[in-house]
Amino acid sequence: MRIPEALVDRVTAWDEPARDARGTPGAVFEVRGLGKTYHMGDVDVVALRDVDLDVHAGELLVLLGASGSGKSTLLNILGGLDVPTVGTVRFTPVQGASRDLTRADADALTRFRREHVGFVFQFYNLIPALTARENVALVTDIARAPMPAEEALRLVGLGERLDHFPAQLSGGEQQRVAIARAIAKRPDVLLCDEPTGALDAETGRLVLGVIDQVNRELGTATIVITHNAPIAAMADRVLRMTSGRISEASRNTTRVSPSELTW
Amino acid sequence: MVIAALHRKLLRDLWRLRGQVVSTAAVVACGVMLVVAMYGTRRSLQHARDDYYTRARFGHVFAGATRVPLPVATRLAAIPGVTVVDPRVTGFASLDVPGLDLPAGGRVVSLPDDAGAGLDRLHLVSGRRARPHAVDEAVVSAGFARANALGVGDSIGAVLEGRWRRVQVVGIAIAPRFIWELSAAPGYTADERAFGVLWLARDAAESALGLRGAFNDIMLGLAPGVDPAPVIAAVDSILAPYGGTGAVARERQPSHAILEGEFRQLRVFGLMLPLIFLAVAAFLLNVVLGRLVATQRIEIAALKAFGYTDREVAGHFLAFAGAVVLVGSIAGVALGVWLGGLYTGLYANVLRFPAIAFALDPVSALGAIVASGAAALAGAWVAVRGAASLAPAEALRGESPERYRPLLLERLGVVRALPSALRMVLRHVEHRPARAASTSIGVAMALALLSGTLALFAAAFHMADVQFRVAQREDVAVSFDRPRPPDAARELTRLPGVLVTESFRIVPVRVRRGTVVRTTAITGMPPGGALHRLVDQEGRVHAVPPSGAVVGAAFAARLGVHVGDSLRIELLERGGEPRAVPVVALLDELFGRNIYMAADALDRLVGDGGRVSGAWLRIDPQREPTLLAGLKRVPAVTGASSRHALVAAWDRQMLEGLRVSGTLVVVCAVVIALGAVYNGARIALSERARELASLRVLGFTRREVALLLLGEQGALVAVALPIGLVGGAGLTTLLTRAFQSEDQRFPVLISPMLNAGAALVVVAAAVLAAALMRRRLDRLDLVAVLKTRE
Repeated sequence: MRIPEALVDRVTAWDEPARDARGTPGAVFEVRGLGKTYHMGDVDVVALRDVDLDVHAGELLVLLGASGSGKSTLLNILGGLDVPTVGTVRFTPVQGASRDLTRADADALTRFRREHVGFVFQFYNLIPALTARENVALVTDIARAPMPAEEALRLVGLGERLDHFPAQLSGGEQQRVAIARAIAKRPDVLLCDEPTGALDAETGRLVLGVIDQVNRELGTATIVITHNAPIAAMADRVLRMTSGRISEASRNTTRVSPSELTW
Repeated sequence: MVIAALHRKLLRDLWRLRGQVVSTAAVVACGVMLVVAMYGTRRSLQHARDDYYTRARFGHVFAGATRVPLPVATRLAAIPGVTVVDPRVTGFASLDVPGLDLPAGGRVVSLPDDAGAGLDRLHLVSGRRARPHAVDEAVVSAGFARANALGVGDSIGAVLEGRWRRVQVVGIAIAPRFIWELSAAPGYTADERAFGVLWLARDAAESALGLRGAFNDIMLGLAPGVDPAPVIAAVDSILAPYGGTGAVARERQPSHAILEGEFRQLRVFGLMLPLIFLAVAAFLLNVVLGRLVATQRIEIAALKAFGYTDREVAGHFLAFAGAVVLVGSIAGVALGVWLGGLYTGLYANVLRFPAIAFALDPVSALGAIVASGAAALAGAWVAVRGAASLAPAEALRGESPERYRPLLLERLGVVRALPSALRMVLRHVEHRPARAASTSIGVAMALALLSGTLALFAAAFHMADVQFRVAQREDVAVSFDRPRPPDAARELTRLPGVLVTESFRIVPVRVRRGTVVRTTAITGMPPGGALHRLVDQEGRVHAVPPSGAVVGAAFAARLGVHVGDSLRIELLERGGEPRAVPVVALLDELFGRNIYMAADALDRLVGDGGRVSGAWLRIDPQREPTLLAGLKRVPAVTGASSRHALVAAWDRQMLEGLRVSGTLVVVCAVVIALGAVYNGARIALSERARELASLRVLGFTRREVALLLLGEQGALVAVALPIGLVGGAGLTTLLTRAFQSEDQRFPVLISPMLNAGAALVVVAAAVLAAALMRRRLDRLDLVAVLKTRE
């Protein structure tokens, strides 16, 4: 069922709390008027419409939404995996020049992912033929100023399982290797797409704990997308997406430790 | 309806996987095409020949003599088993053809007055037979006529028994005895311009050759099932008083023997090569379809979950394999018929049977299709069974991460610091060695086929090189009408443009050793001669020993003689008691069943005070035309062959063969290499799309990801190259052995240049496959791949 547009309040994620105003120094992403339409045969499917959003350095943002709400599309565009139909995404790294991702070509997007973005996926996407250490090394080999693979794995609590192959690791361990792989390059942003989607609650809390820890210790701007509402409590800021729009934005006064989350 | 939906899926799958369907079907098509073309060509030619032999009444026993009174023919006809005797007169002539720059050799043969009588009947291509008693009419053999652009109504000069006369071409014809028109000159005359057959009316031939009321050549027809051996013995004893040169059965008749040699080579190409191709095709098909079905695991599970039975699921995927074979077979048969027509046409050019038409041999075609089909279904079956035996839910869950282990090299502690990407490639190979091997083996097979068959062509060119640049270095070989005193050769020296003359003597002999009897000739040549030399396969020159005989190694092996043995030799032209000649050396040469002696030793053996049969000349190239024209007017000369013309004719013939067969082999090798690499990479991509997409997401560029996938295929191709070259050498040896005959030896020639060329062709095919893959890789949908589960 489509929610009538009139009923959905247009919430602009940047102009709501005073210190999040547009142009505030420290915005890693400035998203303006973003829209994405997929042409599926004769039907146009609108996945994103008119999204405005700022993501700040060091913050942990949880993006909530049902499946099909557009949250993954947004994440893919922010991560340089996809390009929008309309709108702009300005990316400003901690060090370096600001750039408009919507004007970048495929090679520039590859470079962007390589240098600035860490990805964590629901299904880990590890390379079965490589050990934990080598999976991380795959990224540190091509990054500019990475941390050693071993350090990244110690950070996620896998210092003892460096030479295990994916098939020898549990789901939670595999996901932590994926997180280590994502953060080893010291990315400007860490993008997590349903990182606990394939895990049981306990393992999920463990993985979220690692993400929380990385965010605090490294100060990496982190976006976690999930359909699991209780996870929102660990965020600095929570955005809710419905039918391709940001329908609600809120700020947590305190971040709940992931170990205290229940679902 | 259930079945209809599944059928629709089949069609869509075929379309979706069209790249793989086409590349795999092409391999099938190659195998089937070769079988259809080669088997068909061989059978068509054999049919054409057998049919022609029957209709033209090709003889069974052939004999020659100096001069036999005609009434003796009735005694020959009385030999038990003989149904027809056909006495003829024959001799050699020098032909002066307008527009031909040298004197051509001619074989004159008389025609029976009654067109319907006798053996070896003429098949007229155009014109008519010479009228009985007409002295100036001749029917000319078709190959010679065509090479010299002679037509009915043209006239040529002929020197017969020292007398120049003009004869008019009234017909152009072929006869079974001269399917291969060969001169009596030493070496293999491939120059069709330089030798022809002239059929004259009996009267005209008898008077021209001075054989009134006599014959010197006879053909006998035998009743079906009659053993020729006792007939030959009887013929020899009847003809002995008349200078009989020894009767031979059809097997030893020169034209037939050469034809048999050709058929033998065609049998090798026609049986062995298609079988090898078919085996390669079957192997690839097996592997490719097996892997293809394995990638459809999820679909198989889904079908099972919907309630399809194992049988229906298996049937569906086997139908996919069947469709690939069907497409390949239809294309293969169509291409095979086309190629067979082309080949048959090429042979028809040389063989000149009255009617050669390519006919599809349904049995062999069906055999090839069934073999391909069985290989394909077997490959698919293994994979289908594996997938169908899984519980649906288990199959739907997908395979859990594959269990990899550190590389053997790493476990052994040999290698520690490898780049991650290289580790990935090596572990994939070590993890699934059979899968990796299938690509390598496919490519290696393609290369082996290419280098192995092309080496035969290299061998042929090498043979020509040895023969014409090391052994036969004379510019012109001149043959005399009959053995002449040595002065005849010396006179040639006086002709303008002749720089060096070396005379030679050819003495027809029969060699007997146990049950093996061979008619051949001893070549007498000057020891230390510079023009015509004894040369072995490798091109090494051997000296002519002052006494005793040098025998061709293959011929010696056939006769079972060794150095130190002595040969029992009967002189065919002089008769008399057999003589013994010691074998002093064996010569591992390329052509012929030759025996060589020093000229004076041969003269002593014959005991006639020394004669020469002709001379080898080195000439001033500037004056070649004048000299050759001059030779036409020397009465003693029955023919001259120019080395240039021989080399050109040989090269033309070889290049024509190379053009067709070489192109064919290259195309097939490319198809196989392409099929192996493209399918290998394509399946590797579908197996590892997720992994590669993950790398792209992590920031690997397209180039880097492509390098990873294609690098693995490249490494497999690199491994395949040395294997392929070794296999090629093996194949060359095999084919060479099969080609070997008493008359012709093929050297096993491993040419680095040729191998490099063959490797380059295969690598180019692999690169093409990689380029096709690269396009697909670049279009990899990152997001979609990441969203699906393993």
